[in-house]
This record gives sequence, C-alpha cells and structure tokens, in this order.
Amino acid sequence: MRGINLSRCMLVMIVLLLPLHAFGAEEIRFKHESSLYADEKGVGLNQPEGVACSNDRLAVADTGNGRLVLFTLQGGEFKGGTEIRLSQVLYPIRIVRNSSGDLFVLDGKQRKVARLSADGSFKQYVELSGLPVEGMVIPAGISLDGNGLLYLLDIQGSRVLVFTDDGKYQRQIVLPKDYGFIADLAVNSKGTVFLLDSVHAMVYSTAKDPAVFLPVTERLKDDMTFPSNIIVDDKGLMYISDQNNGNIVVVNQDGTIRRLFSTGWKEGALRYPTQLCINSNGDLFVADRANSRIQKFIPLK
Amino acid sequence: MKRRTGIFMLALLAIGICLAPQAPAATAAKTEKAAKTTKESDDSKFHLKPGARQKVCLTCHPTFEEVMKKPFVHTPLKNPGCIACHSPHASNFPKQLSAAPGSICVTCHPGILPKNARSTHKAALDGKCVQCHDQHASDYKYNLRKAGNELCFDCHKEKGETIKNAKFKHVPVEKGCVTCHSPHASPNATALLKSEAPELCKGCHDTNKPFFIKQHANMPVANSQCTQCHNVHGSNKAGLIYDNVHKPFASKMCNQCHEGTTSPKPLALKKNGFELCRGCHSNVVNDMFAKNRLHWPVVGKEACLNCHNPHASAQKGLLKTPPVKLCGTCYADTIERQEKSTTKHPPIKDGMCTACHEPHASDNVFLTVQASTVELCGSCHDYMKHSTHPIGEKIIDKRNKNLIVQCLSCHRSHGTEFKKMVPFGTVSELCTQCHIQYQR
Repeated sequence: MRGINLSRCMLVMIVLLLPLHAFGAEEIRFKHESSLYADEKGVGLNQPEGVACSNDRLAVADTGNGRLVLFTLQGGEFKGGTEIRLSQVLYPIRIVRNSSGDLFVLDGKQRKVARLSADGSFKQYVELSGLPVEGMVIPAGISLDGNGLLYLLDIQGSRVLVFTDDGKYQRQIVLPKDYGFIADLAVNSKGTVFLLDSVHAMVYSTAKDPAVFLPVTERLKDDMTFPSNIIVDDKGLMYISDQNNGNIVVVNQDGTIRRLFSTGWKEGALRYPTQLCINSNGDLFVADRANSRIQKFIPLK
Repeated sequence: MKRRTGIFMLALLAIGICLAPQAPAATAAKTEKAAKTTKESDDSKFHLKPGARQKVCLTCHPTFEEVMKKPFVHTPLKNPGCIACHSPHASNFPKQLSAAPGSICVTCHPGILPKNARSTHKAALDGKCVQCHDQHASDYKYNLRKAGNELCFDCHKEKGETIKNAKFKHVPVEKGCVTCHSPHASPNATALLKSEAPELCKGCHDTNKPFFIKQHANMPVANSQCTQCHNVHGSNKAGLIYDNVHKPFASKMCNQCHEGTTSPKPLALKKNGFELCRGCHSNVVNDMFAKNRLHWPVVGKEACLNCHNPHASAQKGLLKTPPVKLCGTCYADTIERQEKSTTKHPPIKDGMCTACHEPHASDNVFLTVQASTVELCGSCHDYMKHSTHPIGEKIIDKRNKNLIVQCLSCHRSHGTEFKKMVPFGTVSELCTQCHIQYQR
C-alpha cells in the first residue's frame, strides 16, 4: 500500500515538473572539436577577429596578417587554407556570408565593406547610396538577414543602416537612448535586429517594434565584461563573446544565462574572443583572437 | 425658572473650564513634573544611586567632565544622560551602545536623509555621523568637529588644496561649503548642491546685467551649464575660468565653433562630431583615420566631446575628468580590477592610461602604443632586455604554436588577485603551464 502511494507521489511530481523542464532554458552544451592555427602553407594566423561559416566552408578574417584565409569542411575536418590577400581589403575585422556564398568583409582601416565571391576574388566595395542625410558612415559591425539585406552599425551616425546587398539605402534605426557603446549587431532570420552594448553588458532588440530598440536583457555586468560580438541562432539564443572574461555566454530570450567554456591558452579555452559563427549543423566557430586561432565546437546532443 | 436656568449655565461653564485645553507652559511643566516623578520612582524602583544616569558614569570616565564643559553639548547627554545612547550593563554593540553605531543617530534624527534624495553624503549614508559631529560635545555649533570648511577638507583634501591655492577666490566658497552644498543630502540636485547649476548660480549672478552679457561675448548662456567653463571652487584665471583653456574660447572667438550671435540659434554648432574639430585639428583627425583601429568614442555619440571639454578644463588636454575616471566611464571593469589587484601597476594607479594606450587610434589591438608587448613593457621595465625568462619573437609559447613568450604570457597588465599581476595562485601553477614535465 505504501509502495503504491509512493509511486503515485512520484507520478504526480513528474507530471508537475515536466512543463517546467519543457519551458525552461534549453541546455546548451558544446564540446571542443578542433582548432585552426595556420593556412595551407603553414603560415600561422595572427589575432584573427572574424569568422564566417557554412556547413562546408569557413572564411577567416586573419586581421593581424591583413588577409583572409578560406577553408573547406569535409567530414567535420578543415581542408585547404587558401590565403586571400587583397589590395582592396587591408585590415579585415568582420566577415559574413550570404546565401549564395558571397563574402562581405568589413575593413577596419578603410571603414568600408568589400564584397568578395565565394573563392575570395574581389567583386566590389558596397557603395552606399540614397542615405537620408549625406555624411560619413563609420561601420563597426555588419550582418545579413535571410533576404540578403545588409545591416551596418554606423557608430558615427548612432544608427543601424539597412541596405540592399549592392548598397541601396532601405531604412535606418536610431540607436537606443543612454547606450554605453554598441560594439556589434546581429540579425535573425525574421529580420529582428540585436545590438550588443559593451559598456553596459546588455542586449537591445527590435523584436516588438522594428523601428525602435528596446532592452532584451538587463545589465549583465556580473556575467560579462566588455562583451564584443553577438550572433543569434534560429532558436532565439544569443551567443555573446565575453571578451575580457575570455568566454562565450549564451543568453536565452527569457534571460537565462549560461557560460560555455573557460579562459586560457589550452585548446578549448579562449582569450579575448571576437566574432562567432554558427552553421546549420549547430557547429560553433570562434575567432579566438588573443590565442591567434579559430576554434570549432560541436553541440552535444 | 430663571434661577434654574442660571444655575445650569454656571454648571456648563465650570465643566467647560475643566475640559478646556490647558496653556502650553502649564502642560509642559506638568509633563516635566510627571516625567521627573516617573524617573524618580524608576530610580527608587531600580535602587539607582543619585546621578546614576550620568554623574556616576563620570567616576570611571572622568575625562568626560572636561568634555561636557564645552559650549555645545549633545542634548541627550545633558538629559537624560549617558544612558540615552549607552546601555549601562551590557550591549551587543561596541562602546555599549544601545543600537548599532551606524543607526543609533537616526533614532532621534530620522529625517536626516530624505527619501528619493538625488544625492547623499556618503558619510551620512553609511551612518558615519561621527566623522563630522562629536557625539558628546564640541566647541562648534551642531557639535561639529571642526569649524567651517576645515571640517570638509579633512576628507576633501584635494578640493581644499585647490581652494587654498587658487589665485582667484569664489566668495561663497570662502563663506563656507554649505553656502552651496547641503551637508547630508540634497533632494534636488547632484553633488549635494542645494539646486543644480545654473539655477544655483543665478541666485547671486544676474544674467541680465550688461556686465554679465558682455563677459559672455553676448552669447545666450543664461541656461548653460556654468561649471563647464568655470571652476566654482577657485581658479588661477580671472573669471574663475578653469586653468586649461581652449584657444578660441580664451579669445572669445565663439563663432569659430558656434553659429554665433548673428544667427537665430547662436549656440548651434557649425558642424557635427569630429568634423567640427577637424577644422583646426586636421592633423590629429587625419592621423586617427590613417590607423587600423579607431577608439570608437572619437567618432561615436558626441565624438571628441565624449572625452574633452570644448571650452576649459581643470585637466590637461581639456579632458573632462582625470584620465582614470574618464577611461573608467567605459572600462569600469578594468579599472576595478586594478583597484582590487594585490600588486598595483604604477601607470594605472597614477592615472596614466596613455602610457600604454593611444587615446584616439592605433595600429595595434587594445590601441597599445607599441605593437610588441615586450618593447612596450620594456619602456619602463628595462631589466627585461637582458636577464629574464627567455622572451621575444623567437621563443614560442609551448601552449600554443602561434604565440610567442612575452610579458603577458605570465602577467596581466591590469592586475590580478595574486602578487606580481600573475593570473595563477602559486609559482608552480604558473610555471607548469608550459613546463608540464614538472606537473604533479
């Protein structure tokens, strides 16, 4: 009799706890798989800041060497490592890939966006046209949405500018009031724009109103120190480079926070990470800047 | 019948007199008398010696006899005596206080810190009333420990020095800090000010006077922030202008940057952001844009004005605040790390962030002034160049083939919780990072 009561109690508990599990923060875990140190000729990466990925390709902005390096991914392994050194791109700091494989590279020195074909050949600079007010645009971050629209974080104009991929102005969104310093932006497949504020360690988005940025997190200064880069996956998870703590922080839309790795020199550990990329397999690539390498992490199912 | 009515009226009058409120003096006297009676009955109830609430204490604490001769004695010490604040037998608090030192004063002075104050004096907020007030007796009004500004300068030393050394004095400051500041809290303004500038300043300075208008080059500054240009605590420049002055401002050439008095918007700037400053400082701006990396504040938000005051400043280079404070507005974590660090790195401690970092732009990550960390550190730590652990371009870090061994392989420049700015608790833990054969 006592045994039956106990079983009933357990059953009730399970039924009660099931919804909690279902709606709670998804358990995100990654395992370090490999690290990239050099191009095909053995020339080492030097403080790479940018990384763009798909399931079979990886492009690295090898910032310290002023070049790009292109890899392919076969069976999860990196192949190739072709050096792309262009007179048009002097200091690549961010890199994104569109659905047709073209690369958009932000040059930190020239403060321009260059468009390259998938094999790394230079196509053109994205010439910005049709701006509502003429003036210098100083982009600090770039992103592409599912429709191929190009989003630029213009710190000079305190705004996010939206262009077609050939630079025709579409719209602008003014940065939120009282921001500290916006270091990066991300756009999800629905076109919602996310902003990362390094100084206040918080994220804003246009989820409720496409024309206005509102906070999606509170100030997370206890969890992050001068975060530098952000990406958002299809599930709405925000992956943030916690730059000064040498880690990646995942923030769920409900505010749940999880730290993924550790800081240090050994493989799997990070120091001053910058751009992140996640492909449709769920593999996470991190530009591990101060360790001069790219690290690949695979999700634990 | 008439006689009956008369008696009734007299009776009413008598009742009225009995029930009517008594004169305040009479009431007070009655209350005092009642209290005295209660106290006396308590004294006898507890078999207290005469003077047990105060004078008996002096038999063991005789120095207080002198203290109590001072002109301003804390009221409860006079009556009821020491027991107003001290528990005579035992207490959970130091000095046998009857409440915690930080909260005992507010039991009698509850309104010292108003709710929703815009600024509060830290000493008052922390309950450290005795920093300014002598809890027993003093030679100065309000039981203050020192007279006038001298009291404030005990903590605000730097401000005191500025005021003492200033060639041109501000009269209200000479009169006393409390002319403009509230000592405990301000419900209306920051920095304990009685009201914000320019309203506070306008209390004395009539902005409509021809002299005022002329001195401000006819610019409509009545609603501007006076403290942007004037050092209200005293200055070596006439008009209490800050010691470091922007040239166009010194020569009253306002229209170099502003639209000027001929415009309907005289204070409007001629250009936005760094484009305005570029007009004169083209070398600085061009150098900046020739570098790989910009310090984002130089182009974002208010651009140059994020860090510089365009008119005048107490800081060199027209910086808004001392460098550590200024850099700390964004890099608060880094500054905090240094403050907590066991070993202090002198350039940061001394507020010289620019000893290692370029403030505007650089070709290097973290805007360092030199590409090589070894060279950068070596500019102060000369010994690194001859006898030290092998470091430099040819020494590969065993942990990572893309890294060389350099100063930051073992140290963190802004400090750690461990000695010598090392990120590990023990030397062996540090060394065995690379020398793994010695790991146990």
